Amino acid sequence: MMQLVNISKSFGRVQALSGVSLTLEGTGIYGLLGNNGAGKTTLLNILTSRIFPDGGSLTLDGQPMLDRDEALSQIFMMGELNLYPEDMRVRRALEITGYMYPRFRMEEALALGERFGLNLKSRITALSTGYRSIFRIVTALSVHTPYLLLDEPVLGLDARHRDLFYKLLLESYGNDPRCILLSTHLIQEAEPLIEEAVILQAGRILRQGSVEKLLSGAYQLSGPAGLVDNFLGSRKPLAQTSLGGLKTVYLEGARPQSCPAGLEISPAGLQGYFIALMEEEESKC
Amino acid sequence: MLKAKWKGVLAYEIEESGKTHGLFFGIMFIVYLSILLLSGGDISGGSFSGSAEIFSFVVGIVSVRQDLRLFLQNGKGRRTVFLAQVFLALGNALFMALALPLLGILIQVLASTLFPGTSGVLWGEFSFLYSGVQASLPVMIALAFLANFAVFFLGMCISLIYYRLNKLGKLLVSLGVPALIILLAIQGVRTESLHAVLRFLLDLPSPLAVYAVICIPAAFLCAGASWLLLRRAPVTGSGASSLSLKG
Repeated sequence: MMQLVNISKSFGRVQALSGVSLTLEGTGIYGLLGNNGAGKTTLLNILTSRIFPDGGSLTLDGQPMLDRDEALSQIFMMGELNLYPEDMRVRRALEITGYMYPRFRMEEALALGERFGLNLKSRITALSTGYRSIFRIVTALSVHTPYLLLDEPVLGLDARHRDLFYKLLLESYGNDPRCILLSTHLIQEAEPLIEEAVILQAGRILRQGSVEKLLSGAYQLSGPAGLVDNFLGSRKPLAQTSLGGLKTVYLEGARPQSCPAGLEISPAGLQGYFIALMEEEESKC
Repeated sequence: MLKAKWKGVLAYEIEESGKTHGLFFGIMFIVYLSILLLSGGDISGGSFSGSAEIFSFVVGIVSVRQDLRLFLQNGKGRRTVFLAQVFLALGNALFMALALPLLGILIQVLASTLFPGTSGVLWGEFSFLYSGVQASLPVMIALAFLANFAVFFLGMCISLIYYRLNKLGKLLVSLGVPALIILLAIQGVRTESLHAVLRFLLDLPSPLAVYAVICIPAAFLCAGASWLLLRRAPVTGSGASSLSLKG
């Protein structure tokens, strides 16, 4: 079990994280969601000791985990930043990962590379943005650590490769269930994979819980603006959008069993829920 | 678990530095062979040891940054990065200490074979310490080991100072250190304490002792400072050099 308690981090005057407490345990795919600058990458960098928090504690199975080999060897992070030497060839980078992580499966990496059309002889520096992401995906999926952190894994990938990645991630998870923390802006695409969501906003955790539970407490109501406003009464929606005479609002709470004619109630998707939350927070500022 | 960890780390260090050091040795051999051929067998005055020390210094600069990033990516902490550098420093110094006489012997053999009658002598930088006489083989090895060990850590320390400093800090160090050296050079010679240090060094029984007295504390000092700089070094952005001397 990975446990973070009251983590804070600032860069100069910018408070990147503030009082973040989070527990990752067992197996599951967690979605780390947040706007740009919400603190997602900072959080992942702290989890892998790439940077140090200003305050708070991190433990893995009850033991301090900051900069400890015992803890770090249980985690693999696929970040946006390439930490392998730029002039290293892809195959060599995979070999080195194999040296460092005993559970790394070279045959699997080679097979995945082939499926993505990754040139193993190429130098990392010569890879396009998309293929750099593919190189990192191939490495990450072949490592088989109990904790896998993916930071914007589909950056620069075309639709076909993104689709392949999601399939392979599920396949890999099915074969070797582990704790995967997926940070992404492409919520709609990743939604079918995510079991638990952690929503960050301005360095704080705004919502956290199973996607099913979060979405069961929210719904979407749409219809003619007048009808919607009458139905709402004094209730304040999380967010609203208007197009012509039609209005859509996002509401938190149990979904009503029935609604007036002309109105439509539908479950809020994770992306809709996320946008609604962000808009609500912005309106508070 | 511990054994597996070090097996991986050491395999990486040995393979990567093996390629680099092999390449360096090959280049140096070609350079001295070219000198030998172009000069018609006269290679007196050539020095491999100076090049070796520059190389060790650069390896010290590059490897710590490269390993910090690579090891953090691959589940190893900064303590392991530091210990790997100590291993690399020892291996590098040993390689250089042994490669120096080996290259000398190789060139001597080639010189006597290709140009019989010439007395080509490959001088090391250490020969001047012994009044122009070639030091004995064990002494040469010991001197080269000490010098390369110390300059590796000096390179590592300088690399980490620049890695940790912000732009203003880098500027201040870049200007301040040369200014301090110039100031010391002007003022220092007049001070009694510097004279005392020089007298102490000159009174030591042999150049090997002088090297030991200078290089061992310098290596420990640089290594200690490096650890202090490394233990909280962040790994983000483009902080590390893309220059690679390994592989």
